[in-house]
Amino acid sequence: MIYRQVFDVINIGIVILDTELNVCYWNRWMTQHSGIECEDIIGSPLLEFFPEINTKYLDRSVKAVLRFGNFVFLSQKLHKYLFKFKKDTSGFQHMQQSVTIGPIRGSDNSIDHVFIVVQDVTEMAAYERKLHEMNIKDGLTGIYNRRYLESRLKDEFDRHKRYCHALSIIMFDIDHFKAINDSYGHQYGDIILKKVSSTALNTLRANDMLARYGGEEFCCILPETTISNAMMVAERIRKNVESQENKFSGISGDITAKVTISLGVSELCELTDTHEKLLKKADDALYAAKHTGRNKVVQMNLD
Amino acid sequence: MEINDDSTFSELEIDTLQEIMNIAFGQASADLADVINVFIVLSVPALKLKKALSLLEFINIEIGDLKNFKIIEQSYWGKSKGVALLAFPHEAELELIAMFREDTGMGFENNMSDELDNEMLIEIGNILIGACVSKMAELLKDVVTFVPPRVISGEQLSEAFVENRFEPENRVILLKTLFQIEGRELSGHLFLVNSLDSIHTLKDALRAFWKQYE
Repeated sequence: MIYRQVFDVINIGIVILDTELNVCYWNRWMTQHSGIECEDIIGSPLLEFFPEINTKYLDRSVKAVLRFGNFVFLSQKLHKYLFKFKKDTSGFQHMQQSVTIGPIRGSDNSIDHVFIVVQDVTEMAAYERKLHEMNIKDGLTGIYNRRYLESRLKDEFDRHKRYCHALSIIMFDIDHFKAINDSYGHQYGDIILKKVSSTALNTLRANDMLARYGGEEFCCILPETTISNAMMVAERIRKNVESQENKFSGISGDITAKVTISLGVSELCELTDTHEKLLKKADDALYAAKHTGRNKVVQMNLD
Repeated sequence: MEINDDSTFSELEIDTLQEIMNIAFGQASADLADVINVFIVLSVPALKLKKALSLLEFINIEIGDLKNFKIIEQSYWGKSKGVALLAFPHEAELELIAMFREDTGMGFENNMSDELDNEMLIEIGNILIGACVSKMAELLKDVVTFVPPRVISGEQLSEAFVENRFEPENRVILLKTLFQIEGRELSGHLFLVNSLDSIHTLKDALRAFWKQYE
């Protein structure tokens, strides 16, 4: 077929199948990425070569194409890929794909073939992922930033309020952080921020969320957690940070110092009508911890 | 059977078109049961000629609170061109997504982002719209192709939306049906909006349809 001259040089994958899903055409792009030669796969069932794509959604998509003449668009965001092709760049293990499946009609308009068009969108997906991470993560510590914390807290607040589940938060900050910066320099201050955040992160459970609230202040969201349990978690973080040795090799020699943190805890209750109020109470508790000796945990009830 | 006026439909034509839609949607419903394992009940469709500008008001009255709806929009092209609008209230949308989530291997992810929810809706909408429109086209001896659908919020269904697709002062052919997923409190609205240019195609199709019974 004369179109093959085009199909074999374009930068997308093209597969044509009969109604039994036997391969009728396999372009060069597909050979390049799958390692399967055109003459080896033509005439064979596609699923024999790619058993892993025999999924419910592929079955549904092919049926929709054959039955309705539908065009099915499988997005990368939802499916990641259809064909599992290796990709060792861009931080993805497999090539991210945007796939279109559609009908090919014969002269009597009946559907006698199905086409699959595969586009490599890995680079775009990698950019998107990077952009997304930059948008929600703090550049220095790698934990979530304040913007993401606030949107996540609002979602958790709404969810927990709706289902009447417990929700607690912990606010904490590093004691005498200004003095650390003044004494040892901002580079050492940055190391402290990273160490404290990673210690807190390692103390939390997988479902908890930690964010840098600003400067040396941090906030943890603890879903499904009562205030008494949140107090225990807060105390664990305090102890772990207190026992942590923070080493730094600077121009003026090695520095090893310990830091402490003050923590405030609050829990969602009937009187909490906004997520800002929950945050404010934890902040008030933190303030109380700061003004009653530091290196301690204080809880604040809403009523 | 004589059809003289090319700018409107007679009562007989409307009745026949509604009957054709009814047969088409019946077939679509049966095929959908096989494709997605869900039985969808489509109500008897109604056909109306409306001024493009009054489309929004009409849809708003039909579905109630437009702001509380998500709409999957998909254009189709054949001899008769148009736009399909599939509208779900937010609660139905979430249930619909949950029903299909497992098929994509995302069954255990509780917190899907809005973006992924939209992608899922697009896939579901594509199949539902595709089934109804293609069965209708089949009965009218037409073949349609589709552009990828997109999700918009009820608020985005604005006058600008209508003006970008239709001549505001011209009339459009509007088909509406209510569909319900059997065994669940889950229903939505499907509107198929064709520009008046399609009237000739539809009248030709009607002639061919009647001819079968002459």
